[in-house]
Amino acid sequence: MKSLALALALALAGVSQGALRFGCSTVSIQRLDPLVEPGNIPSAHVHQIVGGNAFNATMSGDIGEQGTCTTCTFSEDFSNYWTAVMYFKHPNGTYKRVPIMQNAALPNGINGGMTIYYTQQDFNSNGNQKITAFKPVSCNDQFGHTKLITIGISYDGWKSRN
Amino acid sequence: MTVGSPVTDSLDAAKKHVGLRFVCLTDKNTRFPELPDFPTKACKGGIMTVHHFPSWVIHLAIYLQITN
Repeated sequence: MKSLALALALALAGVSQGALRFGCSTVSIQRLDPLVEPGNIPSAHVHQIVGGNAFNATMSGDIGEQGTCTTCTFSEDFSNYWTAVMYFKHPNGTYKRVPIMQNAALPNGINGGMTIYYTQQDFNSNGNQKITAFKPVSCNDQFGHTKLITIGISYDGWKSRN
Repeated sequence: MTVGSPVTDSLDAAKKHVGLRFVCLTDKNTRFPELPDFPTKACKGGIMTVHHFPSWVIHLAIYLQITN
């Protein structure tokens, strides 16, 4: 049995695929960005945030140890992910925040959030680097500061069509 | 870890942010093409933004819909 298990392990090693997909609903919409503008209250623009309840204007250390719940479907991970919020500019000059819709491919009840993918390179190749899930990573922000976070994602889209 | 830049204000600059793309959804299963710019016409299924972080880490998809 032991040799069978070894043979199976060797067989799987050749075709291993690593990928993870899950949905997260909105935990908050705030002018906060602990990655790009740590400590700034408010940050320069609005973000939609999903994930764990340890999100704050300043985040340090292992967020997984600080959170107690999350809006993502995997309750073992309290990472946060956030994006810039998009606005529609009305012809009269006013702005309206564009709502985020549910990903219909995910279970019901995940409203107004994101779909997170962790992949090696893509779903069908083994990639060229190992995937490591849910461990704190050292992150260089755009100012060259290195900090330890679980995984914080910030996205800033370009302003608008002109 | 970030994708894109808030000071990007031209299409040429946007194309260089290869991690940030938009998909005009016909329905929930539409995934391509990934555009560097906003779609120029209405998208029946909404607009999906795709953020490709370094491939071994993550990419995430966000679905946007203008409701009226």
